[in-house]
Amino acid sequence: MFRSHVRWMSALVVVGLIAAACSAAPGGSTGTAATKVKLQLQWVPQAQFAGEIAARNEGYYTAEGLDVTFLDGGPNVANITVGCAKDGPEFTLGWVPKALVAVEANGGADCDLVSIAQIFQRSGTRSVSWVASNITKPEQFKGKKIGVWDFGNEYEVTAGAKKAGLSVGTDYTRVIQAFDMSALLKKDIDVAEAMTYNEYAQVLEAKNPATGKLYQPSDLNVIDWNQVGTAMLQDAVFARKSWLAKAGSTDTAVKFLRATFKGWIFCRDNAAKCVDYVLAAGTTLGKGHQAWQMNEVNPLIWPSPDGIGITSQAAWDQTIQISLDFGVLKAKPADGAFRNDLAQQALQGITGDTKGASFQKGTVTVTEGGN
Amino acid sequence: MSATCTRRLREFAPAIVVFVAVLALLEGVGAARLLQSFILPRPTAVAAAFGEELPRLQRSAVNTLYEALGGLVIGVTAGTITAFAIARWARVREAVLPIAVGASAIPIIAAAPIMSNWFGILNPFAKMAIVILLTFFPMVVNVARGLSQVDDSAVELMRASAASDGQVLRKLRIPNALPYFFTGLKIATTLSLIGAVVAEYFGGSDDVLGRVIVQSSSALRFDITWAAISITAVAGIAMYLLVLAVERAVIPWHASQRLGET
Repeated sequence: MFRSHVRWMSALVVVGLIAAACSAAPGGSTGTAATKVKLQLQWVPQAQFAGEIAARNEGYYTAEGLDVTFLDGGPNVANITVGCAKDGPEFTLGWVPKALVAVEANGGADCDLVSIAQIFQRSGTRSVSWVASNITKPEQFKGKKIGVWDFGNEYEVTAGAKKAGLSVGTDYTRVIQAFDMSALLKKDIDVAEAMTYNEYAQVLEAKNPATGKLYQPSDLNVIDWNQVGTAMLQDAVFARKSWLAKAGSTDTAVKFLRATFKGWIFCRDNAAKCVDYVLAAGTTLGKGHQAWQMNEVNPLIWPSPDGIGITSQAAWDQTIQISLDFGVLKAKPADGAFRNDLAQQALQGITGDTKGASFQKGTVTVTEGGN
Repeated sequence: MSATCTRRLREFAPAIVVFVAVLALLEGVGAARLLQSFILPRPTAVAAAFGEELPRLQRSAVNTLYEALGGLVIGVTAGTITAFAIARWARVREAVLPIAVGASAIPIIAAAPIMSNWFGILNPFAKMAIVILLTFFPMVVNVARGLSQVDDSAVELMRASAASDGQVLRKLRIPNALPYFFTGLKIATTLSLIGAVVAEYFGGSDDVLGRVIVQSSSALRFDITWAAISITAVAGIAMYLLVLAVERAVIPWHASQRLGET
């Protein structure tokens, strides 16, 4: 009896000590130590985040006095959910409509993400199909099996079909794709959603059993949602409003954005070096695939007419309007859902070319399996 | 009649009291804004989501239950037949058991995309196949044990009375295996729902509970997520109770039944 009491007491003491140590750990930064911040990536490490990876490897974050920890995303990580948590990462990379939906669904208070920089100026979403199916515009979705990813990645395709007068279920079958292109390759579905920088390449990296050679771009029809007019803003940097309101946070955010922008400028001018950085960061897909991805991500960013990171009011309004028209959002987000002031301050400290007006997309040849 | 009713009510009373208390507690926590709404939505919000999303939830529940029940029926049938073969012929046991063990050890996350590729991403059988993989093994193991673990003296007595193999099977082995069969079936029913919902995570039809859960949780609409979860939970309880009722009707003589009657 006595011994069990002792055991209980000592267990309590140990728990108490651990709790004390844990609560003492953060916030104990001294004057010279780097500010620790976390960045939630939208997906697994890949060239989609080359700018952030380069900013770390080139020492841009360190130069700004930041120590940035990268949190991986992936098919089973809800990046926006992680970003909304009270003790979540300071910065979250995510697509604009997905974040807005999360904010609206939780009354703005429980999830208070604000876009502080728009990295991608254009959408990388496409819908691809075999040339033989002859589907070149959304009107031709009628009666077909249309693949999309859900997780909020399907808005552009659904909106494009709706704009063409087609509704899900009655006019076409919506099929949820796995995160690879096997359903299209097996012709299980007629149309597949694909990012220019990822899944589109995965099709071209596969062998055509009929010819024994890799599939060619000429085998595919591609619908570009930027041209259809239902493109939405994608990769942006989000931060919690409540975190931004704390003393020193906006200063930290400006530093983070400045280093990130420099990273993307570096990757525009040194794409090959950035591919190496991405590969070293532990990506699962091979060098050929990452080189392709880097080459496709750059034109989504460059040129940035107002400077990298600045949200264009027109593109923002289009994203909101489509979200409202197609029931993604119930109401217009409150003012202040995005802000440009931090990105503008960040740009002021950069001497290089922040707009890339003369940017030209390079050419990269696909390799079998992306290796 | 009314006496049984009262007794039943008394049986379920503790479960009901706990359930209602937990709901009230969650509602209070939500009303006091102690937690962010996406961590634990209020029960009233979940109820509202039910109303809002009813048509889609209904369609999805039908589709998911079709996959779960279809896979369950095939898995249980195949598992039971295999168990009979295993109990009868040692050769079959040696040949089949390692494969059955191996198949049941395949993680669903590995098997689900493969099944989609084999049977087609829109084919409900691709999801049923996962349910079959999950339910087959518990049936094989349970039923085979029930068929073979019979009282040796009973077998000897029957043999001495010139009973045929068929008679031993019908009069001794099968009655002995029934409680084991129902134990396996109870495990299999709950596994079937888990299998169907998880298999849906890997793409396919839009109108299934697994997709409702994925889509609503990634949009932080956890009220809808919990509505979908409640449907699977209620379906699981209903299927379990159904098995229990059948069990009571089929083997009222068994000790496991008398245990329940307190």
